[in-house]
Amino acid sequence: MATTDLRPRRPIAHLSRSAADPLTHVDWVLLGILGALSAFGLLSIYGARYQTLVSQGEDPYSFVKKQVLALAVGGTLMLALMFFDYRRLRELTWILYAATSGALLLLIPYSRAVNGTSAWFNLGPVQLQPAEFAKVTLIVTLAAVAAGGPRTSGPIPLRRFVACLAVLAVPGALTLIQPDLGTTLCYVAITMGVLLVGGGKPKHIVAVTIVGLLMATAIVGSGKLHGYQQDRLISFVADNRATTDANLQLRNSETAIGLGGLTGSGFKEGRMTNGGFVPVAESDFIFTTIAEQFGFIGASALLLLYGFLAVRLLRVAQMSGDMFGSLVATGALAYLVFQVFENVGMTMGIMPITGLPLPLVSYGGSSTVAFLALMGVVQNIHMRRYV
Amino acid sequence: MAIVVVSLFGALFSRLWYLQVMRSTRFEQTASINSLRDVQLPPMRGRILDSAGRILADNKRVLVVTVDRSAIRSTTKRTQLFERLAGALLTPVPELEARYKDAKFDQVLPLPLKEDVDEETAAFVKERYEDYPGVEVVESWQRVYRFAPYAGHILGYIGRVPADQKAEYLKLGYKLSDSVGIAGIERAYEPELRGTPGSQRIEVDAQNRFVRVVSEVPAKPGDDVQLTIDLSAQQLAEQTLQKGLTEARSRSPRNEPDKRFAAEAGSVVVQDPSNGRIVALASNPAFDPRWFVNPLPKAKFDQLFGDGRNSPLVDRAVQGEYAPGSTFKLISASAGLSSGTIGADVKIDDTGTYKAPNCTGGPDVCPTLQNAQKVANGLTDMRKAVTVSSDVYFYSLGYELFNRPGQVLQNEAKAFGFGKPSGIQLPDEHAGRIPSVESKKYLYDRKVIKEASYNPGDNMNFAVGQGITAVTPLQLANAYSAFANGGTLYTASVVQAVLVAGTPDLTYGQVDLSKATVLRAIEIKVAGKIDLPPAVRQPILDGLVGVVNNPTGTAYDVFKDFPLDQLPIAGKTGTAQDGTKEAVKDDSLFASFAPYNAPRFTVVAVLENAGFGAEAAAPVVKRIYQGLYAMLPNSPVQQATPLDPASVVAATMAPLPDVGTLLGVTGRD
Repeated sequence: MATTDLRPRRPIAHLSRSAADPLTHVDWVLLGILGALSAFGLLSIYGARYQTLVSQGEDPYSFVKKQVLALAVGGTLMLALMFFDYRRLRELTWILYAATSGALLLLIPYSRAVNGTSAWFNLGPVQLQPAEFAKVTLIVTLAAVAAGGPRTSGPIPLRRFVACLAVLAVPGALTLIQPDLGTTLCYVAITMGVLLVGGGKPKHIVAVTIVGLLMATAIVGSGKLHGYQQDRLISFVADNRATTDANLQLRNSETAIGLGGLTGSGFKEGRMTNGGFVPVAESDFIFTTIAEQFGFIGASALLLLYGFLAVRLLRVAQMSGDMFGSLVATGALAYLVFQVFENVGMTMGIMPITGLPLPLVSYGGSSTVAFLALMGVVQNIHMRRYV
Repeated sequence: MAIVVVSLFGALFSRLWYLQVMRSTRFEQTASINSLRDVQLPPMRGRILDSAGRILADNKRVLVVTVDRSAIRSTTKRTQLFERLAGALLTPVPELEARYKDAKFDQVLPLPLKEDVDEETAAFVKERYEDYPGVEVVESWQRVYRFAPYAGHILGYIGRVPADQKAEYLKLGYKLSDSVGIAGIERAYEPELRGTPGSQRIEVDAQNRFVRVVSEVPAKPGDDVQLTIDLSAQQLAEQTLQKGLTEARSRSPRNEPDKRFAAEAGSVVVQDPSNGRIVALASNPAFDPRWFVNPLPKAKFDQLFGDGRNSPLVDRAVQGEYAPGSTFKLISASAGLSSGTIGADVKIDDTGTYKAPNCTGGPDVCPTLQNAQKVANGLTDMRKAVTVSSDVYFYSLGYELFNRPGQVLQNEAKAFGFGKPSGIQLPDEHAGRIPSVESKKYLYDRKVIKEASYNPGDNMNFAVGQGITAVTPLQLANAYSAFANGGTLYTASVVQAVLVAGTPDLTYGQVDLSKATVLRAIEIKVAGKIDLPPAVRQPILDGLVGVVNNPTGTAYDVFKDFPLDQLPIAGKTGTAQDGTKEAVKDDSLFASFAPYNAPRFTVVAVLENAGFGAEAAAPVVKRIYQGLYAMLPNSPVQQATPLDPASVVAATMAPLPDVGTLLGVTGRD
């Protein structure tokens, strides 16, 4: 026999707090995934560098400690950004965009001064990589431009479409001459994602894609690329047995992943990743470390975590109360998916080798802090979907 | 958007599945395709030079056969490989197997199987890499002791990182398979001598064949250490000591013709009293530093050092502790005169026996003590007491000093540098012991002695350098040097300077010091000053000169034929009694300096179980002076011939030019 709850329901207005109160709408699942990814990263960084650090008589935790610091700074920034209405962020967009673009511009004379090319500023013990922060400001600025005014709807007109391309052009060009092809491609992916979801007209998108591809072919054909960039592309396109550094890196990485097998070779016991055969096994090639030491099971677990994160970002994009919020989440999603696909793909030989980190898992302060900040904004959008 | 995301992730998963699960076994086989390997480039160890630039410790390039550990991890593969290699390397399989199991060798780096192989062996192994998978020939440095076995105790030797110092060395970036200094200057100057290892990253193919050098950081050689030792004096001291000990073994104690002196060990110190620098430092039995150049098999080690008794590794000059016997009377005399306890001209009636007056207590507290051989010296003042070595005079002085407040004799001994290590650069220097309330209690607490309290008898024995008094031959030399130069106690030094690596050769086996760059000069350090006004110093000096010059002197007979007018010597004999008081257990000592009016050398000799001071030690010292001043011919300094690798005795020293025996006289303390 069914019983009915006869107690009168309290009207929403009588709740101690408004149902729309952002604090009651924190996406705990999103936070949980970020925490899990960070922990996975710390474990892998330790495992990647343990042998070399110990054999050099150094503290095996030295990389882990720095990463913990980056996580703490990034986590604090994320929390701060959660309590700050993202719509007000829109007013600050251009300042932030100008700041990161300015930093990228300053990097040019700075690089010359430190004798060569540099993607970061050396500030005492800290290295600041402006390109990582530029990804975040690019997303927010693009979203602001593409979303238009509060009453705009429908497809993006040509004028705003071009404005979006201009927003991409500034950091894109500055990063390309660093030269950092991978990050530039990441900007392009973000822009494409925002334009697709934001309502770019198909004919505009097709046109700009054709122009882009023609330009890329022209650049590669002109031989203006740096030697190593050429190497990476050639070793990716043509799997010849030339012993270029890039080719060797790739084959060693594939070998390491293969050695991992189903269950992995064991924590800190990677024959290739702990043997010095895989370069930057704690940052750019950390996926190789994970795949060798934790095997298919561990690597799949990591990819699944990224999958969950992508689903979560997609959900925020769909649930957002306005177009701006929706596009920021879309940009973040494009950023995440492109970087994970490019980074993981390069370690397995299905993408060319670039210097893109695996978000939250690769060792690297700027990337970690910038990504957590972006997640703060996304969380903010989720929390304020009813207000 | 969702479709794009799903398809991208799908692509990653399928590639991962393909690489790790479907193709995984194929990768196992090709895992070593063109891999990178890091090779350490060992630095050239700094050289050790004598004061004239002779290269006592040098290096040579050697070829080492190594094997990659991955090639011998499987037992069957290893056994097969070792069986095939044993013949080529002339090394039995069990020895190779023992190396494989030896934890001292780095577990990641290639295992060295045989050091210093010749070119033919290297070529043989290299040409047959299909038969010897993983085996390589690499270049390394090996220590060469050009003038071995001389100066072995000073140079020390090298070996693998000792187990108890593992942590410290690893912290400094060493590998467990690295050679480090274990003793002597090799150990004391390890940081300077080591140099900085370089590294090379090479690419090798699946067959482990070298493809190319990817990057290289060259090794930086270690700095050279220049000693204060003069090899010609060192050789003379070692040869003379050896001869003195050999001769002593054929002699019997007086009145005991059926016994023979054991004389199995001894040491000699030759020092410059004007700055404390050591000219020669000999210890016997000696060892050959070349024994340790390659890892010493355990069987050979046991054969060499099995029972630990009379170990040749002990540097008796700085680690041997002896009762100084009458050589200590210099310090007692100085204490007595400086404190005003006795006047230089006060005469004591030496009846041959002494019993402390007004002393209450049993024979342990107030013993009745005698001169050696119970001779009566009659009325004796300070000069005569030193010259004839009157024990009664010094027993009396020891008793007087006991009754004065302030531990006068103990403080004087400290001022002369006894009771603590002198601070010479050689490791593990011993401190000796000054008899005192504290040191007696220390020994009593450790159940070495049965009586805890410090009695008049202890101070009486202390005054003649007996009882629980213990000094090292180096401390004795330091004290005599301080007296010789008028009261400055220098910190003994065996190192003159650290030189920047790369000083060119002057001749084969000797560098051109005029082209050397001094990295760090070792400054002469003053450890303390002793107040020796003429009223104190002169009577003692007169007594010491009388020892060799006066017909009543204990060493007069030894120096009878010595041209004392050309080289005036001041010295003192000493005979240290064993607890058993058996004559055959007497240690023979002689401490001296010359020329006494402008001292250039302090020479001290200690011969264990060799009889009276004038019997064994004084003739050794005399022969050293004769060699130093070329009164008798010296054997030329020559580079060593190669050592038989199986040898368990030190390479024979060149004998002293044969000019008869080192005639000693017996019966004089």
